[in-house]
Amino acid sequence: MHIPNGFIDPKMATGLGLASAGALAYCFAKVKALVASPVLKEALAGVGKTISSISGKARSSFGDTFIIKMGAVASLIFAAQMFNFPVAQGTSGHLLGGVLAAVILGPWAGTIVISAILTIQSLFFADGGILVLGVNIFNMAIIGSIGGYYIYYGTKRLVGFFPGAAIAAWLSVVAAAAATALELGLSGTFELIETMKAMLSVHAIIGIAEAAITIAVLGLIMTIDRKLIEAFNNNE
Amino acid sequence: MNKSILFILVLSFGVALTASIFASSHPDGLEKVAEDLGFINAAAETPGAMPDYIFPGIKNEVLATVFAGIIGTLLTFWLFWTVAKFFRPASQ
Repeated sequence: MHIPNGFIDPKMATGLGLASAGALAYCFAKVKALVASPVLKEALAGVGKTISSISGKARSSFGDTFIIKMGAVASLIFAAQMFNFPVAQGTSGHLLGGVLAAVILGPWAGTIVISAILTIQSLFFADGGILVLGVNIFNMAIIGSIGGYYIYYGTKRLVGFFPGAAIAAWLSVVAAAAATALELGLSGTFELIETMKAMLSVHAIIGIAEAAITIAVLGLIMTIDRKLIEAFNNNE
Repeated sequence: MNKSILFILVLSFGVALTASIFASSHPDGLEKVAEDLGFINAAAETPGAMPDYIFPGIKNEVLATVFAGIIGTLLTFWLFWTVAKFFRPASQ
């Protein structure tokens, strides 16, 4: 769902770019506070154990391990986004990963992770226009991770962890598609209602795959190390 | 490094490799909608070092994608690794 240059009115791209920049600044502040927090450092001592073995000299800490965990999740989602799966009649879809990142890392770190991926894709792989990077960050990182996280947070109380994550994953894709359609329509690129119908119908299907991949990866990570996911959630 | 984190990292290289070989080359949801509704031509050509996840100069497309994918995955991780260094306590 990476919007290329040329699809979005420059005024809208600037506006959403500024909104994304503001939201990202907030996310950075939240994550910075988190990695520096001694309370969480203690609570999460189990997660932040052994970074020391790599450099051999540096002492372990929660802060740098959390950021390295962000990096590992980011590289996994980057790789997974390359995996285009066939949907219907000559269409493919791929993971967006906003909910996946947010469930593992929390909404703020999740947003930073997806934004970093979108930036690398735009700068090096011509995947998503550089001029509309802020729009793509708004649709996939902010709606995906922050919006998706709070849907997950609300629904998991009602239906449990995996169904909650699945519903949030599906909704995050459909919401991102709706936002994209709205941006295209308001930019005058194509008629709004037609674009909305087309975007929603194809992404309602892609969203099912998003939900399936999200809970599969969460399940896998929980099997490997439950703490990777739960440690954060217990403190939310 | 924390074993579980290392596992996720190894997994991502595995996924990048698999994706390079098996990924569908059909347009994604947005591209398809743009083609069907006829506004795909509004898209401006974007420059990029490895457009479409193809490493330049390698004839074999799968190999070129594997290269691009591994580089992208490494680059993503490296970015966070570098940032993490600033939060690492000084050595004792």
